[in-house]
Amino acid sequence: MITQQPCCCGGACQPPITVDSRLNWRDRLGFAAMRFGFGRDRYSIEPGLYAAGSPNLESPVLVTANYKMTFDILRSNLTGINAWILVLDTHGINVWCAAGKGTFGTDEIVQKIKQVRLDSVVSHKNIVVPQLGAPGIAAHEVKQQTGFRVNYGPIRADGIKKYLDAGMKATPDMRQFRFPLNDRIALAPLELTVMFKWIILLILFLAGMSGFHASEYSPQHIINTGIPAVIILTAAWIAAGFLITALLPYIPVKMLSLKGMFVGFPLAVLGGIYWENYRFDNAFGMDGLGLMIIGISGYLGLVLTGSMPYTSISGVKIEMRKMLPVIAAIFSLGLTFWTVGRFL
Amino acid sequence: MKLRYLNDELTLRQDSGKCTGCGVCLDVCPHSVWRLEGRKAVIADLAACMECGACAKNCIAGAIYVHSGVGCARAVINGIISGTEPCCDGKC
Repeated sequence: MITQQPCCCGGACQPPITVDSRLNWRDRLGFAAMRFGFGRDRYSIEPGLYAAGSPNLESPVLVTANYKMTFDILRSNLTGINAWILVLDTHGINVWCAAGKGTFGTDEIVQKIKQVRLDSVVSHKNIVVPQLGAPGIAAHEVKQQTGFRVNYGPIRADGIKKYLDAGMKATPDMRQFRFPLNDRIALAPLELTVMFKWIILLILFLAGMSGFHASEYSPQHIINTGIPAVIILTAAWIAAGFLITALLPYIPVKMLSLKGMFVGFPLAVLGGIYWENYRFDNAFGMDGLGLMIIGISGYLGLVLTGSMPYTSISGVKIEMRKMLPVIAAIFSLGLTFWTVGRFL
Repeated sequence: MKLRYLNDELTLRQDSGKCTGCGVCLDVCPHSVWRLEGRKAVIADLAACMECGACAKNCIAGAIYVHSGVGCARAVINGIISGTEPCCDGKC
């Protein structure tokens, strides 16, 4: 039972909202939408203090971000746990990204602790902060400014029960980044969605240009060569997104863009075989399409650096310096080949 | 299988003289870069560092330096285009 009335949400004193550890269909629909990036920049909840179960003065305080998916994953792991959840205002961004930017940071945590008067909510002086929030939080400064001791919890919310049961002790396994197949595949739709507008532009260009055949222009050529080209390119692009993430640890190169090209090359060959088999067009069209597929796959790999949990900024800079010109050259060459092929 | 990224220009440095051996860097590092040897933390696996900056931020002794930043090519490209710091999702 709530023994005291803590204050949250601005100046007004309101009892904290009690949250359910079960997710409903709308939460799950939200997860799916987020995987494709639909409305991702406004999928947030009100920052402040929440109650899971029936927390009291002795209950643990779990700190998290106000991205709704983050909050939902946390609460879904709190079945049978009575805890306070302190939600920071990270502008709807997850803990890791917000910590990198500093919005999941020392100042915000100090401000929220004071705002909700955490010292009147609990009788102890401990808060649990997810380990991935550490790049934004200076634990010693939080202690100095509020008296609350920051305990770094497990990386994943699914370890929170074990962590609390062990008296806020994390096992080495909880402290290690894991990147299993499920997590990797889940990244593909979003990366593809972000690139979608460029692919649309490319598709429109290819379809439009495919009407040319030597010196004449006819919609029949669009159907005969343009449509197959667009289908091959789109299929290869989607396949590349899933294959790069799925095969990530097994492709024996370090650069993400090279991993992309490793996947792109066989896809380009497959596309080429299909193209030749049905004689959609001349070899310029086939080669151009293949080069574009390799270039696009390389770029897809390059931008995946952003969602990889092991890429350093110094490494990304090396890769961009070396590979961005290569990717641009391969793609441009492909586009040129394909375009030249229209006028032969 | 342990994933490794380009590590030739990693910026993580430690001033061993300042280290008090409190071990907070071992707690916050998601890639087990640090190890306690005697009463000092040492960099045991530099190549695994992703320059997130968690260890440096939490080091009370100020013994750790790392140039941390957004390890994301799209963010860097966005930053170059808009002339700002690297930023994600067009929120420049």
